Amino acid sequence: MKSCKRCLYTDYHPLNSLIGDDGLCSGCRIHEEKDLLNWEERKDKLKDILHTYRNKNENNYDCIIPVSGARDSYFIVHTVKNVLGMNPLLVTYNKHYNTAVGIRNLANLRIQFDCDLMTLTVDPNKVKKITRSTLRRFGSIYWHCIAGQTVFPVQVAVKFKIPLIIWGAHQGLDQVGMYSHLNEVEMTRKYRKEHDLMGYEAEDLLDNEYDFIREEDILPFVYPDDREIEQIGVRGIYLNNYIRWDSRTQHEEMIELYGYETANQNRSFDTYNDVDCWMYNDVHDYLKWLKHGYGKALDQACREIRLGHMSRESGKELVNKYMFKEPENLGMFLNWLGITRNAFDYLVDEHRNPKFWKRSDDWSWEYLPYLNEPESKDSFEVRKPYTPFIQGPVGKSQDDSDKFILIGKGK
Amino acid sequence: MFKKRVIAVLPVLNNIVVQSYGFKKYLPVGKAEIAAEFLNSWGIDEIVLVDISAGKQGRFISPEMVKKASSRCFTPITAGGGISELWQADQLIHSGADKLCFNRSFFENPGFIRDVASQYGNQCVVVAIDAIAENDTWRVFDYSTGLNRSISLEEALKQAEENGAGEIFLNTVHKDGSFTGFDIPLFKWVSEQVSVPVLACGGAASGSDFITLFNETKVSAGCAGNFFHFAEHAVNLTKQMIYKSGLEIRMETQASYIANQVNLSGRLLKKSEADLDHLLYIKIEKEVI
Repeated sequence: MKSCKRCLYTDYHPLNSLIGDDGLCSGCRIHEEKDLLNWEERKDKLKDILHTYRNKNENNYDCIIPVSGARDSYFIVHTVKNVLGMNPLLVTYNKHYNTAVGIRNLANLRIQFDCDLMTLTVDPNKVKKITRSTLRRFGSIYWHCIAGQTVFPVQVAVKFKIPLIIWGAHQGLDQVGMYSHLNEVEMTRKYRKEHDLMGYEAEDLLDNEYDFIREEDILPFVYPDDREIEQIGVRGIYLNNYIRWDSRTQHEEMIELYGYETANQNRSFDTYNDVDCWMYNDVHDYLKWLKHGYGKALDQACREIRLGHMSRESGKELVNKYMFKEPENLGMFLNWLGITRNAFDYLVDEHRNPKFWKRSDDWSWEYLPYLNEPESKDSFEVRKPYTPFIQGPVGKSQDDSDKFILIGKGK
Repeated sequence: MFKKRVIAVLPVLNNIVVQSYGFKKYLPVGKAEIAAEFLNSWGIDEIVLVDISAGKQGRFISPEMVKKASSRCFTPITAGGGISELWQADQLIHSGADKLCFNRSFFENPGFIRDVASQYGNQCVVVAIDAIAENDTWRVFDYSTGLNRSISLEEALKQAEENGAGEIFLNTVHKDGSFTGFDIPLFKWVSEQVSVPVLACGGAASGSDFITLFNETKVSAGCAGNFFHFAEHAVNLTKQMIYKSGLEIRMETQASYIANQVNLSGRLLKKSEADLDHLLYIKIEKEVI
């Protein structure tokens, strides 16, 4: 594995990464555009696109915004509704692993911005059935969350004839530089299948031999037909092609403006992005470590390093602090899914990446480090040294609970 | 007259499909089989799958990758990258490649492509030439050294045809990833030089570039790589633009986008509110008794 000379990624990345002759990875190279492009001009471009989608007959919403009780949701709604004056319909997939903070953030989002919110809550029995299968087949407890988050907005677009969906940051662009900002990449079913869903669409889970997943189980996750997409002319755009994306700064602005709630995370120093989920920076991220050799803390450190908000050294320190931590909420998950720790370990061991894990002589697992020293030095400067993410005021709601909250009022 | 073809080029580097800019910079896109699967469903006419690092590393394109890609699509696949021996050609054909393309082995050993042609027929042999603009003319570029070859483009085209090339895949280094349209004068000239079909590649950004190409030159096909990865149904959108301009192309996808409009960059525009309302519901007037 070769390491990038600027960030902490190597040329092994689940979304693929290329390290050029200059020692920089494709992600860092594309990230440099953030300081080179004229973002005022690009924002005008966004305004032009939004203008054409504004409803003139006031018969429908202007666009759909997929939201959750965390990650960039406040910033996206703030930008699209309050700054750019659109009338959005908010949609959210209920990820079942909800924290009280996430429930409150979502309720507060709906209330603060005076928006309508549509929620898809899939029958927990179906979700569990599917999760048993995805855990066994490709070691994921998050497939249903990602599948739901990426399909429900498209289903609503088709059903309610709202052709524009507005997303926040494009992960492939932001992490590995899959596209230039100038490419103005849009939502595709292709990207969803390959990168969001790890190559498995809902139909690929059908199974009559082991997990007995039937068509009625996967129906909520089935992507609308090409013909339906065409009829409505559905299009999904990403705000980070038009707005200089800086997740940390944006969240801090939202904490200030709307009281967005933060929460400490077990496996990451970023206390803003995934506060709505018991599993994300915990069991899910632990599995990511087993499957790909690194965890979310490394992704987030790379993001901050590229922005010049953290040195490579403090990035490494943080990664080493969080990446080796055992999940804290595994019991909650095992209880929910109805399997034992032993069965869980057996299943996930099957998916340990042999690039990073091997059995030692006493049959315990030995980790082969992901972090490497790059061959060449980078002269990239740190503009502002790292300071810990803030912990804002914590609210209290009637349905506050230390368990997964399937449905909560948030007030 | 034959229908014009729209071809997707999938350059592969370290076993992943990449976007290519100026034959120098590459951005990682993803797996070949997923790209093939979706291009197929979006109505692409052919796929050219070329491993651009194989030749340099003394390998040839992975038959396993070709097999995975061909198992997910019905469109013809042209495989290329480092093929220099007949057994390699055999393996690729058996893995589902319909045609093979040759660059370095053509220049270094033209007799080899003659052998492939006699084994599998001329229709199986595609000679890939990389042209580069230089002082009002075009030279032949050698990707493995980054320098120009001494052979003239005219001579290279002649030799390709003489040695049994069924098609010429002509890429343009100076246009690669530029999104400024095809090099029309080049393709106009080349398509009149040779009697075999010419596949034009380099610089496409939307359907309108294909329209110009097909109207102003005699090439058989236009190829694009990067921009087919940018938007949902990028191929369908490209083809509907070409189709609406009156050119003959294959239109077989369910989602034809005939009733949709696109902007100058080929991106989808909003349907009229009247159309969407019509899809939404019929207005129910208050009934007065």
